[in-house]
Amino acid sequence: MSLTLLHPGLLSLLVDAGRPRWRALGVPVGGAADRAALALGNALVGNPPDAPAVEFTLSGPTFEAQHPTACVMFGAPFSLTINRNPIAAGRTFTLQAGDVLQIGGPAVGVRGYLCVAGGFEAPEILGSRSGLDPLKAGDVLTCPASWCEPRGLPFVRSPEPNPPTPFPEREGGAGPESSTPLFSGEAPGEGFHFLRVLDGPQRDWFGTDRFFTQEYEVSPASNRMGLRLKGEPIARRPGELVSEAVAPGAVQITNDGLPVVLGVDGQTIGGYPKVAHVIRADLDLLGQFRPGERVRFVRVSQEEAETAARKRAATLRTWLARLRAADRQPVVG
Amino acid sequence: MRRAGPAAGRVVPLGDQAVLAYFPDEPAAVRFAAAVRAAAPPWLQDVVPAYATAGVFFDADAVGLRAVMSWVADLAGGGREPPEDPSPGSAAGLFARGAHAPRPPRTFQIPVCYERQLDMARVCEHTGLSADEVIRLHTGTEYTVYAVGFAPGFPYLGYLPPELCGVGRLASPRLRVEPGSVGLTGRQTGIYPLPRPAGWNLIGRTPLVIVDLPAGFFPLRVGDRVRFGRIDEAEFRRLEGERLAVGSGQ
Repeated sequence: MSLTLLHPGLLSLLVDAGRPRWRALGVPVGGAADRAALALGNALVGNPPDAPAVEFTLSGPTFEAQHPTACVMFGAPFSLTINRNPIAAGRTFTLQAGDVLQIGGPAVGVRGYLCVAGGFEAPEILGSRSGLDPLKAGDVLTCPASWCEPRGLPFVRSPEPNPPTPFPEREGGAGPESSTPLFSGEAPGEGFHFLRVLDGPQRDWFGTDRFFTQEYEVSPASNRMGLRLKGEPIARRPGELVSEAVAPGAVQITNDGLPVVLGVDGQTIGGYPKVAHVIRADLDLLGQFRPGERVRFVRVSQEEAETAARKRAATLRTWLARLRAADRQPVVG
Repeated sequence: MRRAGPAAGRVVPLGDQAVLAYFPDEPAAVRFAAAVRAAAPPWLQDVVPAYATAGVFFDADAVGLRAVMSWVADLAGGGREPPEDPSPGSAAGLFARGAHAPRPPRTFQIPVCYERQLDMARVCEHTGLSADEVIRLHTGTEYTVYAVGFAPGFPYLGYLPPELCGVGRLASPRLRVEPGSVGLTGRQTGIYPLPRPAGWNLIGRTPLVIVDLPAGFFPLRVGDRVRFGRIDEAEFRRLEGERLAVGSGQ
């Protein structure tokens, strides 16, 4: 007994780091769409980075606590209330028995995480505690009783949260990696996001650069399986591709000439040609695009991809270490 | 002893956490996937064979893309001998268990009730064959699992005899098919293990459970062989819910 789900919102799922070792059997990786947000939320309540938490999308769930529970909402900055009194996203709080936690919607981004001290209990399936089905009203999520003093991480509105590496004037500058606990979903100004990509295995099927020069718009049909984009269709050479392994971040061009960027729940093999592949440093961002937002793809080299991944991992490590070292750790049990 | 490795093909990045290797034929890709599992380098997360390709997924915090590409090209070219028997405590030994355990291909006999069909009329119309001829051809061929995907445990089986090839997909996919439904399209046939939206023409249904995800039950692997056997309604009801026996019909 711990938290009762009164209303699941649009889509609430129990998530951890997913199942990366079962693709050969057709099982999608799954888990949190924004891994950094999950890791930071967990660190705020004293958990390891991949402890099970509840992920929600655009419209959040409502819970009633059965016993004291130290929590934090992290990821996209959702509005939230306890017994109708607003509280801040990104700061830890303790629910008392009978408290109703209502999570509303986010001002930016789409996905948030409710992390509790000690993590939620769930059966391990294929090495992961991520749920196979969405949570529904009446579900009871089990976690230990816990208490905490409030502490938090700011949600950042950095002027340049996600500068693509090929812009030399920004290289070596004080990027977000150096200072802030980055929230993936902030647009870097000018009203559109960048996604950095490597060439896909079928890049040469497309005799045009139109993919890289146009601005796409995020379709409302996007979900955890894929980010669907609207724009000018691009032409490709005729022929069918035999299905081959794909992965989150693969940019498939479907038969209508438009891109679908595979998400964490994307299928494991696919037969659409892949023009590009989002680098791992930008994969979390895929989970935070709002319908109607605009996206540009920026081609980078393998070296730039590795540098970006190292910088992002280093920032995350720094913040996780700071939170571990800080006082005001939650008390569990 | 130096085994002849799978002939080397193109090796390309699939993002910065995986590479794709292309082979001249399907058996070469299956042999390569088995060799990767047997070698089990500590950075290996998974290897996903599909038709004449294989995707190798790695822990990008532990190894770089370039190093994996050259490792894959080396192994694909037969230039590296996988260890014969990884010791149980090693990373290779760890990887050699469960879903990743290299094992010789198996042959499965899968009973199908062809009366439990939805689209036999369409398949007959397209092929110009009677239902009995369709069933005789479908059960008269031994298939190979060329890929597992689309949905957890869905086996892509190939290839259909020429007379059954070329049937298209449904104009609009069904929102849900019964688990065990057997369908075909193009040169492929397959079994829907779980209720899913599905676009293939369905010609029958097996009563057996071929996937139990929470239990980690995935008997069919790439490289395995499958034969279908015709059963009637009474036999369907008798077998309904049983698990596909591993290694049956050897």
